[in-house]
Amino acid sequence: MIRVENLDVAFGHGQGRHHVVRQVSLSVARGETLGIVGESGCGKSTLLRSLAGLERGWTGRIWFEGREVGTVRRREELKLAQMVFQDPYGSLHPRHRIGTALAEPLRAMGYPDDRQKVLRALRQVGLPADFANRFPHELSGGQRQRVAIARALILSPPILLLDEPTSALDVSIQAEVLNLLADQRDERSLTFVLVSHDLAVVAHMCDRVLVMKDGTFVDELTKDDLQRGVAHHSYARELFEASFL
Amino acid sequence: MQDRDASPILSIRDLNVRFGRNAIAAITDVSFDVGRERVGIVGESGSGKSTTGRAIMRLLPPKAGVTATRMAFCGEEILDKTERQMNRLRGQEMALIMQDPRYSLNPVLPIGKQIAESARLHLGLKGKEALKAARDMLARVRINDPDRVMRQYPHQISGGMGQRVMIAMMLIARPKLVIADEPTSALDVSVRKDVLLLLDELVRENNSGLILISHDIRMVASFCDRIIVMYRGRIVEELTGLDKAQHPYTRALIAAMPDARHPVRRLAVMDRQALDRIGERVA
Repeated sequence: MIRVENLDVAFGHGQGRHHVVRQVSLSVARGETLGIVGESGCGKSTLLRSLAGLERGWTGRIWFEGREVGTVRRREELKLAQMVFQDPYGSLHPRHRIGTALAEPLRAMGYPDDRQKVLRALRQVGLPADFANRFPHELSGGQRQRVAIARALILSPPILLLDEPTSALDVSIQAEVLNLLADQRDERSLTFVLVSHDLAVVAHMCDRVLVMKDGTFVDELTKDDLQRGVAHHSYARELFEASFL
Repeated sequence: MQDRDASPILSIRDLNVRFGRNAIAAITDVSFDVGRERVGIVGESGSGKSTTGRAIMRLLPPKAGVTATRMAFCGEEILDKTERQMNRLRGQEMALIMQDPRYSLNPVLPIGKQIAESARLHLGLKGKEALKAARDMLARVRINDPDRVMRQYPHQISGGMGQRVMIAMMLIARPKLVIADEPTSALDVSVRKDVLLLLDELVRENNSGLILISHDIRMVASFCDRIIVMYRGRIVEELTGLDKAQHPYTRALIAAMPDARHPVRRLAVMDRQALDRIGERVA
């Protein structure tokens, strides 16, 4: 479903050049959920943004559904992968009603404005239809994240890219949002790439986890490894211990 | 060093906080004692855990109405103190460590000067002596190159280092009570442990009491002697270990956390209506 070969991202020039992602390769099968864990600055978000097409400065090769995509994407390519960000308040326009925010991807992709589709998207993430007339500040953090998920799913993409989707939420709300994501994944047979610093969240959601440090993957853990608490690399072990503190 | 007096450092009975004329109280009838031990306060956002911490320091805004039948610090009533007396108490006898060092350190002052200021105010040291005390304290919180860090500004150091600096600044006066409000939430997981262990070591060394405020019940459980669980401004339960949780809220909170070692297909979701019904019966 997703294949990445030798992805490289660097910011700046000369002395100030900062190599963020170094020769990264990965592949994700259809319906699989891949987790990427690492600490701040390890390059995990940059990698995800490159996949989404938000980062233009990368080199290497990326394939979605067997088709190679470039740094500049066409509409059909953008429709393949949608993204959910960490802070839904920062990713929703404060002066647009929820309905407008949800219709935005439709408009951007050249579809007609379809109110029914918007209301259906709200229902699918467990929100009442009259939320379409509300503003983002009238919603709680968990509800806003549901809206962000609805917006990502409204174009029916086969791939969902999740950047710390529950880090800003309380644990009880996190549980609700993770359940929603899992349900949508099973219902629509979606492929997920989930980036997080929280090993417990990643272990719960993912079939396979890549541990990232300084722009490269240092370890790969299967679901079985996670359950038994096995890590092959010293850094991954460190993360394990810290998250079970 | 064994504690000679068993009397609590902090003793609170029926603490109530209400902001302005708000119909809903922020904190209702909160009572607990803190001795020379580590007490954790856990709860979700809006549960009143930080407000409790600030009420103890008398740092809430004037519009907050704070009442209590008793709020004693080392036997003295906090609410009866004048602002001037409080200023002497804060920093010297009780210290607050906040979540993000980037916001609580002065961005235009070198680290060394900021810690030296603490030494000057609370230890009565002057000039070179204060700077030397600051340098020793930086070394004490395991900063490798204290002389270099002394000259650096807050934006030049990492988050974990910033939190060490905060700890150095707050604990240089050896306060009797340390309130740490989410001290590790802004830090990476691998740094968290070091900061917590450091805090623990210094608090034990000074024989002081520690209140650790956090949303992370697992972390608090592994670190504290006692855990106070708050929900909607009330204490719902006090426990010594996660396995002893009785209250449905505490249980729901623990069940909602994903655990890599015990995977479940779906996470347990909190039934808030049922919880509210229980709350009404108690109230």
